[in-house]
Amino acid sequence: MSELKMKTNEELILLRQTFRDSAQAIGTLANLAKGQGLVEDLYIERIQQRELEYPTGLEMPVPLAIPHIADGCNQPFVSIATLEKPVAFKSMDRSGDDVMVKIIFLFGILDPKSQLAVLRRFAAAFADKEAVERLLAAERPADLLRELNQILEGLLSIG
Amino acid sequence: MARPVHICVCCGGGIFTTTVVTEEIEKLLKSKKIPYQVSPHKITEIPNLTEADIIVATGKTQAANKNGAPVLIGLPMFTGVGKEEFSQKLLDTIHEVVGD
Repeated sequence: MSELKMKTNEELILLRQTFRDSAQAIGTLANLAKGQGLVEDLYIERIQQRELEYPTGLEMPVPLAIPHIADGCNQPFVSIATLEKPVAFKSMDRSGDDVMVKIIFLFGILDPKSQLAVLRRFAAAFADKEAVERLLAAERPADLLRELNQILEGLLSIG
Repeated sequence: MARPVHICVCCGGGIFTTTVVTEEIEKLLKSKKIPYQVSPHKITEIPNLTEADIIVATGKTQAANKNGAPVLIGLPMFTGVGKEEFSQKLLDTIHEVVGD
């Protein structure tokens, strides 16, 4: 069974960003994905809506956010931004608490069952303080990608 | 022998967190040899999930299930933080709901 690998590349990685708020952060990454044909306008609209209703901030050892939807997505992908200044995202537990996020992983996920292996590795990585800190410390997108692919045990499709 | 417990796992979009949480719950129940059925849903469906014995949501919700199925917050299964406590709570709830 062919599994569409989760795609990423250097152009989808932004380092040491400053965003006004979570909406600007999400919008910027989503537009990068659109520029590569990975998503349609529907995704751009829905990903913001989703974040308002079902926020994705996670108070992990390194606070992070994982905005993701399937709507308007053409191909599974991940786009990442590391932040110079933390940005507030609401917590996924829907308590209304703010999570001061240091790194954002924007996903387009088509069929979660076929992506299960890589999604599970991501979930485990999010809880791994040292792994996330290595991503934060990357000086160049290529370095971050190399780190990430190691953490995910080669499950990404880079390019 | 106890009948299979039906657990509905609910999150915002029904994709990322539901998938991982479902997998973790299945692993737990298999290891305890508890017969089960797990299905993915969105949090908005909680009130009407008539087939659910137990509902595991990945975020706080005011929604109550029409049949009175207990709603547990299962985010620990995704993040790993507090997973042991949650696993125990889930097992206890299964025991209460389905008997043994």
